[in-house]
Amino acid sequence: MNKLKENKFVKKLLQEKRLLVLLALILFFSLLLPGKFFTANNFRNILYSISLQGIMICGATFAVLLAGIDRTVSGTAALAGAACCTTIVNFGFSWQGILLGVLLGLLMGALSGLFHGIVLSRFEIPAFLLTLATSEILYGLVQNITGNQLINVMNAKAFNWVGSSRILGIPVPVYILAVCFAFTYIVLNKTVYGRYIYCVGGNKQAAKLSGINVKKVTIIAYTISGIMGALSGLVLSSMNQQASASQAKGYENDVLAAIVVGGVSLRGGEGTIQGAMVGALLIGVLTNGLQLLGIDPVYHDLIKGIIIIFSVAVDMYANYKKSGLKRDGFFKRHKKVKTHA
Amino acid sequence: MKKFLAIVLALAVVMSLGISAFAADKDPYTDELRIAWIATAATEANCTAWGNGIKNEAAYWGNVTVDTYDGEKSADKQITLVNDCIAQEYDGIIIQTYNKATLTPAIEDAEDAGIPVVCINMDSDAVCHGLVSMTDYEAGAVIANKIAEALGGEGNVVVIQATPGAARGINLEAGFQDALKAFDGIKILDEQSADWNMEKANTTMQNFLTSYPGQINAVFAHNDQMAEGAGMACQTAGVEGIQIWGANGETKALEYIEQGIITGTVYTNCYDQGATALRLLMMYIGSDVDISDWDATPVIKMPPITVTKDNVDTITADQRW
Repeated sequence: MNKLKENKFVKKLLQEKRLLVLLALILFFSLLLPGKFFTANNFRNILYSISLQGIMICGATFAVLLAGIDRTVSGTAALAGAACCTTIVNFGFSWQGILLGVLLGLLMGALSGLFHGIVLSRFEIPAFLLTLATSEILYGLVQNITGNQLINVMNAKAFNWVGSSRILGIPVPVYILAVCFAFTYIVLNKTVYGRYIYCVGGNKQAAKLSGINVKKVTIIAYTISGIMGALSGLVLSSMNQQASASQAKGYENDVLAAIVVGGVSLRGGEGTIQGAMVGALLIGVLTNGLQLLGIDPVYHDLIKGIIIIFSVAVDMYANYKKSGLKRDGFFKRHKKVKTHA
Repeated sequence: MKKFLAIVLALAVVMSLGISAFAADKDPYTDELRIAWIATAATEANCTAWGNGIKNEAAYWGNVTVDTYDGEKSADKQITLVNDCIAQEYDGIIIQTYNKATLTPAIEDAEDAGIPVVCINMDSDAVCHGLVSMTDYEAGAVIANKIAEALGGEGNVVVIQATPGAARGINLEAGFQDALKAFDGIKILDEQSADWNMEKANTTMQNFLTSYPGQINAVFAHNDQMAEGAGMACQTAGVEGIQIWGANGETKALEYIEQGIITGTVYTNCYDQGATALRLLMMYIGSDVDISDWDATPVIKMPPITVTKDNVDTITADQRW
């Protein structure tokens, strides 16, 4: 047990108070849905349902840790899917076409990320505004590539295998998510670059003064985000056996919600990939539990919103307790201050 | 100040009269005409097909130019677009409204300005020159009957619904539920929304299979994309023998029917639907038809074709969208 506690990974995981909320939710749904919720089959479903957003989260977390934001993850995903599927169709569904399509998709993601990284590191444009604008550009490009038609790749069996197959009973997209998670965890926790990310995100000026190449750190972070976004787009196209002009639209909000729920600060320099993934799981478990309970879909968003606020509040309170600060009551703060003339 | 107001008022009246007279003065056979096509979302397959149908029909006329505008799934955006079209003095507007109530004043304004409006699939509460619609209530009923027939009047159904509140989803559901009343042995086990979305429908179907193992006999999805998602979920889970029905009839759904991944759909020829909307509009442009005393918008319903593996080959490549 002590050994377990000494393990840095487990220790960090236990610090995540949201994990307790997640466990409480799992317990709650398990009690309400005996024999249905707490099954290997159902957890496989939950992991499958969060796999796309999970891959995006692994990339977007880099940008958020830098006090930035990447709202183009969905646009990049759509562009990568469209470029890949169009190439596959143009090459007659051959394996060469699939290989080229996948590489082209990833290249699109890398170029998109590289562009964001360069612009953000050279000019003082807020990341939110830049990525909001480029998201429109990316979807515009996708509309041009697809001609607003579905690009059907049903006949590309090898490509579709990724989205619709299982290895040892687990869907392939879940393995891809696991690899992305491991990559992000290692980069953020075991490399010098990871430390630089936290430094730059925490205080850009201080990082600059201490000799960190802030521009390089930013460019790499956004390139990783772009590649992960593209990867999720390829997985999505493989799952759906198609690319469409509106593919993945709106996913950036889910991704951002999971990251924030997972305790990654929008001010940068604070948070972990484990936390962000717990955030994604929390939302995934909630959606799954509500569906299994057969709750009317009109209540889903309402309940989800309340639970998300609750989980963030629990974590904030835990952090506050840990800080050792004394609590100021609401009324106390608003008492009139007597002034002496 | 009073003089100024009077001048402004007079100008407004003259301008509105000028605009009102605009479309009616034109000859649909000889004058150059500009038509605006405002889609709910230009990126959706059915909107693209409607747009292509409108443009193909316009090409026959030769004197008609069609400009496509994307409503981006936003009623506000569509209102702005309609107002822009009024200001640009278009000769006619074809629109698929995103929200019935919200678009009402904008469509009233267009009609008041003398620009005839024809709606596709979704209209507003305003009386306009016409609505060319897919069948939805009837399509829901057809699917219910087909499922009941296939199950021999006994079995369990799950429904993958549209985004809550979407009119097409509500009408499809109403037709489905009403038709099922004739079959006491058919039970709806569960209903969940997947927001018209394929991957969400995939997850929803997986959850249904977890909740009701071995109990589901049929699935009714409010559109083809969701039926395809449900089909994928069943295929991945290795579950066979479930009747899966969608609605709309997009190309991919027809291919899924051919491959046996889904059972059927209710197909509408969207090219023909778009062309019908333009034909209707052209009939009104330059005519003396006065709609001010109409109580309701006239409706043209496109013929629904129930497609299964038995007749999917009758939908030829040029009819697929």
